[in-house]
Amino acid sequence: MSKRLPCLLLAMALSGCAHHYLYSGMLEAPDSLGHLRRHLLYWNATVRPLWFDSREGSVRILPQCSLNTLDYDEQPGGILFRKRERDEPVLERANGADVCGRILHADRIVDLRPGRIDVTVDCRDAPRDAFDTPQPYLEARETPYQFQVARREVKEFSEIPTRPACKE
Amino acid sequence: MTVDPAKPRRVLVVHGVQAGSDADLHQDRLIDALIRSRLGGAPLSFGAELYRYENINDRAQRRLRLLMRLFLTNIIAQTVVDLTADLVLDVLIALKDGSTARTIRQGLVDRILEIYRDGHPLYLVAHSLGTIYAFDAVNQLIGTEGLFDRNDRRTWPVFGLVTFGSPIGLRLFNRTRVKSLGRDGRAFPRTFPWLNYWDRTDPVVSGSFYGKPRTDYRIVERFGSKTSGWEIKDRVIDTGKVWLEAHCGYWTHPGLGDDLASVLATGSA
Repeated sequence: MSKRLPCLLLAMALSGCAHHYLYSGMLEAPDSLGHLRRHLLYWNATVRPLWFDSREGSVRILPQCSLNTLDYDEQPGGILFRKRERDEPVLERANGADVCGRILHADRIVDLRPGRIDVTVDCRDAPRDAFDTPQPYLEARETPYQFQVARREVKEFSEIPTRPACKE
Repeated sequence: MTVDPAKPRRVLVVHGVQAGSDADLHQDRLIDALIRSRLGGAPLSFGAELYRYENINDRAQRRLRLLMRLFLTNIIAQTVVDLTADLVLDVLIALKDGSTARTIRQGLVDRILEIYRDGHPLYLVAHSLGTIYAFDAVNQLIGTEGLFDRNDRRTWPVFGLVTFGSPIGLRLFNRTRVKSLGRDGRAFPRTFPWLNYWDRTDPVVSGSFYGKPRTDYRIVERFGSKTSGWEIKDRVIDTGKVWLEAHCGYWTHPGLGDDLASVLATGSA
C-alpha cells in the first residue's frame, strides 16, 4: 500500500484536481454577404493546483450558417487571425499583410479576462474555384467588434457550445 | 481521372501506435462524430474511413514477440511485456523505415489513389505515428507525374493534411522539409493546407518523457517556405488532460472539430 499511495496521489494531481474553464461570448452582426448572423467567440483553459496551467492557443469565432472557423492564434506578435488562401483583404491595413485581424488589449491568451473583448476583422471570404462554396464570416470594418465574454467552469471541454444553429 | 467538386468530401484517418489488431480500431467513427457535432446545422457532405495497418506491424513483429514470451512464465508479465513490445516495435518499424514501413506507406498511397479515382475531394487526418506515414504519402504523391498541378485542384489526390499529437518535430524522425508543389506565375496558384495540432504537455510531441510542456509556437511551419505551395500552420490546443492522456485527448476536442469542419468546407488552413 505504501508504494501505491504516491502513484495514486500523482495520478490525482495529474488529472483529478484540474479545473476546466470556458470563456465565451456572442454577438449579432452582418457577415460579408450582408446577412445578419450570430457569431460565437470562445476559448478554453485548464487550471491545475499541483501542475502547470494550460490554455487553448487560439480564440475561435464561429459564424452562424457558415463553417468558416476564424482562428485568432497566439503568436509572438499577438493574438492574430492569420490570413489564409481564401481570405481577401478588404481594409487598407490588411493589404500586403499576413494578418486579417487581431484581438486587442492583450498579446497572450492568458492575459485575456472576462468582460469586453475587442476583435478586428479586415478580410472577407473569397471562393476561388469550383470546389469552394461561400463560407462568409464577420464583415470587415474599421472599428473593432465588441464581444462580452463570460467565464464558466465546465466538467469537460465537450461542453463547449457549438456554432449558433442555422435554421435556413 | 480528376476530382469532382460535386462529390462529398472524404476523410481518411490514419491511426498511430496501437495495441491489438485492425479489428479493434475505429478512430474514423470518432472523427466523424466530432465533425458532425460541430456543424450547428450548416450543411457539409462528407464521410470518414480509417486506414488500418496494425496487422502489418503485428505480422512483422510476430517472431520477436513469440521469442520474448518464451522467457516469461508469468501470464501477467507476458501480457505486460507483449503490450509494451507491440507499442515500442510499432515505433521502431517506422524509425527503421524498412520494408514493413514501406508496405504501410504504399498501402496508404494506394488507398488515397483509389479514392482519387472515385473522384472524391480527400482530406488526410492523422494521429501520432500515423502522421509520419501521412506526411510521407503526401510528399510521395506530390512527386508523382500528373498529380498536384498547382493551378488545378482536380488533379489533387489529397486536398489537405491535418495532424495531431505528431512526433514529426523530433530529430529522430528526420523530417524537415515538405516537397514543393512547384512555382507558377499565375495570380492565384492554390496552396496545400497542412494544420498541425499539439497539446503542450503531450510527451510524443515534446519528446519529454516527464511531459515538460513545450512553450514555443512552431513545429512544422518551418518545414515550408513562401514558394513551397504549402499553407502550413501549427496550432496549440488544450485538451484539459496531461501527458499520455493529452496524447489521446485530441479525438474529442471541440476546437479541433471546429477547425476540421472549416478545413473541409473551405479547403484552407
